Amino acid sequence: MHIKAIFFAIFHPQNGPLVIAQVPDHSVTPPPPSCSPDPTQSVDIDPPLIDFDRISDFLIPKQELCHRLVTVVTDQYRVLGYPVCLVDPKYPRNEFIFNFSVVLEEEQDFSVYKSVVRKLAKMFKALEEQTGWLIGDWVEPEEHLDQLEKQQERWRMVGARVYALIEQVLEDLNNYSECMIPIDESNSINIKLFPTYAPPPPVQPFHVPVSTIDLATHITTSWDLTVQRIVPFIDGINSVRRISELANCDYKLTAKAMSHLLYYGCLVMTDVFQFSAIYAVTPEISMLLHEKGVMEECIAYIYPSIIPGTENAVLSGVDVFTLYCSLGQGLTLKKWCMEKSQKLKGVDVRRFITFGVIKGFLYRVHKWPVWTTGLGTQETPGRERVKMGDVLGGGREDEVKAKLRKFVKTGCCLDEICTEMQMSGKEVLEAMEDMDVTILCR
Amino acid sequence: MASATNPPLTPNSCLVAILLVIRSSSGSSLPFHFPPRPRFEPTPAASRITSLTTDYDTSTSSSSSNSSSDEDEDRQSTLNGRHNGTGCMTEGDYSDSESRTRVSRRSGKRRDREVSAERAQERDDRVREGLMPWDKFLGIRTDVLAGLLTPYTASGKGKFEISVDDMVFVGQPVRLRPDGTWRKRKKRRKSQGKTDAGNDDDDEGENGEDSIPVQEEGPGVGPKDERLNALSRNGSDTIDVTNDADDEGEAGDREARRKQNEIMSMFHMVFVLNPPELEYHYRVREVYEYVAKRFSRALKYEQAKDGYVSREVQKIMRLKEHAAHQDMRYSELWRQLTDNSSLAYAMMRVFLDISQSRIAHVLLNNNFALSLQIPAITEISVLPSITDPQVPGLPLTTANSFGDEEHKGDTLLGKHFTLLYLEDAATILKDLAAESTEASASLQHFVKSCIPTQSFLTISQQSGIPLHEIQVLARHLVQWRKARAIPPLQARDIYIVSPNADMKRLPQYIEKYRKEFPSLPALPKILGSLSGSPKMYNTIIPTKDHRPAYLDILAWMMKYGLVTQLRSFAWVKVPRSIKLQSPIALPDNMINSTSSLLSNSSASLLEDPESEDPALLRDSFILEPDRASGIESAWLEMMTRNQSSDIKALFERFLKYLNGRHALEKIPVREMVPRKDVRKVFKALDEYIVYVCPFLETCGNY
Repeated sequence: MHIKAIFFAIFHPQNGPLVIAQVPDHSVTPPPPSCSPDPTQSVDIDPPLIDFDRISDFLIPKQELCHRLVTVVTDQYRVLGYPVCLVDPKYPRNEFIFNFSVVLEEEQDFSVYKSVVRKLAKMFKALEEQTGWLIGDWVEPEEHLDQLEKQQERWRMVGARVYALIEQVLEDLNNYSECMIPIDESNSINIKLFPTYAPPPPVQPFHVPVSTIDLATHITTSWDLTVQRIVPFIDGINSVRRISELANCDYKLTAKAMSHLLYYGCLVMTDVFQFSAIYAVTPEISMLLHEKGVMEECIAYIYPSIIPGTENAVLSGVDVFTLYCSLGQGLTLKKWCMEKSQKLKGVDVRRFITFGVIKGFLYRVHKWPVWTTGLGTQETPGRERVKMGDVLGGGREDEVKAKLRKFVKTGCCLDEICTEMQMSGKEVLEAMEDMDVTILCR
Repeated sequence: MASATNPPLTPNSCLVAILLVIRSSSGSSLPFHFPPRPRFEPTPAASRITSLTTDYDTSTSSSSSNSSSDEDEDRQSTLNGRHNGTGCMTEGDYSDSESRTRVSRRSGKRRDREVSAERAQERDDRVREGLMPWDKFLGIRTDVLAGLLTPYTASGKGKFEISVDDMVFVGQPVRLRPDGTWRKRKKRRKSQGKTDAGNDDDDEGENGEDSIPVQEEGPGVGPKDERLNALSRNGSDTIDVTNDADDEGEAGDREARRKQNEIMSMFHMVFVLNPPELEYHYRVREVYEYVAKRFSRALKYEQAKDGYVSREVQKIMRLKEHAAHQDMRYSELWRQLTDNSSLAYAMMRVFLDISQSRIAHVLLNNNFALSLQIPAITEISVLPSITDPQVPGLPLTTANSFGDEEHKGDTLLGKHFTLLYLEDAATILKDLAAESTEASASLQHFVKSCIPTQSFLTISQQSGIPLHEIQVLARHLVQWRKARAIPPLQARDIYIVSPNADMKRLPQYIEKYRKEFPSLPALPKILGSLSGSPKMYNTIIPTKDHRPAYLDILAWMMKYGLVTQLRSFAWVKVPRSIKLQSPIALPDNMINSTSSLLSNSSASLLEDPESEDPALLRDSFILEPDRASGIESAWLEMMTRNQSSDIKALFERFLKYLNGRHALEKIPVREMVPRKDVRKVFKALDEYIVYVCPFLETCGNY
């Protein structure tokens, strides 16, 4: 994240596209040969980053491209510009075209700088329109040739004024990612770089949020009301649906608040923790051995209340690793805990599992009820209806079954069904017992 | 940023349009673009920040009604024509598309009334300026746009990339060289017509692709094109001969250049993209590398040969002129262009296929069959977490087929792999049979011999096709999405329901399966039996006679990403007891240096380095046992000291697999050791090995 150069280019009434100011010096156009008659001095000057003449068509373009964000890739650099064209009879040729451009490396992510370039352009457009800050009305349309020298002197002044500003913009943005530079009593350049984050993933009712920071300490009364209400229930155990119930908040608002927290990385999502669940390791498990600090982090996390000086009771890295490896398909957590109860003394099993899931080296093996015969549409007739007549109050049961049938048909995992039906996994499986359903583990 | 590290899994070319711009002595122009009216929607708010802080990119609802398919355009144009009551449909059409772009540029501030006023204004403009509907593109006058897209000097390595707002224009301009030719020639060819046209122009970094005869052409897709290709190869030579007159002398060069200049001195196939902010670099690179560059190269070749591009451009210009006189409808003209010009047709095909992530097969100049595609991600090795974007159905496997420590780079498939056809082998064969080239014959032979239960090595031994050739052919089939490379399917391996199986589509699969295997147990039954604790696949095969059928089922399930092989990984653990017994007594002053050496190389001691007790005396792993340090070797020696020499020797050979990166299933195949011996070794040294899957228990029947 680094701006290589900023420059200010205009359309010069006599000379065409011209760079008036550039930071660093000579980063865009080479110094005029007359400027450095002493050959020893010019040795130090690096060649320009880009060839301005080659891309000037894009930066000082025809009117059609003005007031649009234009980027050009040239010589491994990307130039971002926003050409502005002011039409006024006071300007020579009735228009004044200028562009504040930013030079970045080609492969760099440039989305944050788009707003910088837009802002600079719009700001100086307004300044020029209102106060004539850039060139104002001193360039008379009927300039005589003998005044050429005077005119050049004025361009130099404009250049110096702009130079001071863009130099500070470049320095501040590169060093502090923001700048606040007063221009006159009523105007200042205020820019802050915001990184672009990916949009947050969709939140599902059966997701379980785990906070990555201590949200409670950051919370203030100015925070969103829903966020304030739900934060106390984010404990790594409650699902989003459950949190909305506990906090007495609308589910949609809860989910929205969750996406906000996800967007800023305050949360990660896992799935419901149950002892009936099955977990298995993924090949990522080797990160525990190869990545520095992960094992230490893990051990610190899985012992909720570690007392200093009792390290002997703590599992070694080898033990933790071996424990993770002993999880696997077909083995419920409950059974695993009983097998390993000796080793697991003092370990918070939920944290043990959650750590693996968040780091991506454990995955939950979900249960998926599936119609044994394929499409479950033929499933409804006869038998079920008779049953409904048999049992008093079978209406509710039938309703549940109808719902379950729908879930199975649309391909939902058991977690999702449980959350939606507000039933335990065991209850759902029991209700499905007489349905022609096979449970797949995936 | 995040975009650079994880390429998005979902295929999406973000393609908005393809433009052909040229420059001639009379200026720059845009002869053809596809689609006729590109659908340009501003980038979906990829980030909250930008959508909050910028008011420029907000889309207007009117742009969403735009449609690019021909049928819709017709309807739309008729509607518009009627609406405006002008009777001239072209006009209505034109002003509609025009105002749309205008509106979106002015951030939607104008309302409908103003729009219609603007529409009338546009009409007037058009009458005054004599503009035709195709004289504007995405709101920019085409002559301005064409001028921008045909720069005089090249920048970078031939790549051209600019963006205007959220539209990216990327391509590789092709210029007439100062000597009046389009391609650099290695040496002057004096004897004309002797060599084949395909061989003499292979310079300028063709990536060696042309050296493989089948590389450029799809495996038997579009059989008609292929036949044409084969037929017209002979014909192309004659054209070449006549054209070679240009090479005769300096005067000829100059003359040629002058002539060419009048028609065309540069052409540029520009791809217009609209990528989301975070995927910008990735999407632009994909389209440039795989489509734009290759397409341009092919066109340059044909242009150099007999002026194909300039000929087509002239044809398009003539048709457009004709249309202008006739007041022809916009969509009708485009239909005429794609019907009459093979280049316009090719651009249409490339646009339609690439934007739908398909393979585009085009025929240039009636003889050059070109296939273009953006490679799709065909398998993943890491399961996406629950909040990651999901692509269910994508096969999940850690068996990385390319350059699998064969030391042969990326281009060859491992010899211990095989192919799983993604289409019916019969269909592939049928397509191949339609071509009569030499390459297709060997491909056919290979397709017939290749079965998913045998490795390339075995297939090579049985069919007599050299292994190297098999690897090339197999790669070709993989590249063109006909097959996927997998480790051979074996009944003695473990298969589980893939954690990435597409459960939403399972009902469809069940139906399909029922048709394919009507007499065998239903798919849910099979998947159900693979759902419990891992076991070898042959435990669900009822009798020996069912074996072939069940392996077919397995291949079928693999094809749809429903199952995946569960592979075992292992590490060597050094318990404290071994360390204590280790004969190498460490002098006190050695401990520090050794431990630092260990932490640098391969041992993970996982202890607090500050602790008094030397970390060396606690349990640890040997992370890279085949590159064991001195002390690690001593420990390994200690572990095997009571074993027979056979086991010792085998264990030493197996060490390189015990680093958590290699599946244990590879050992019998690669080391040519019977499975029961492998098992014997692991059983003997069980206490020193940590498995990631219950390897020994599940492999009990070795």
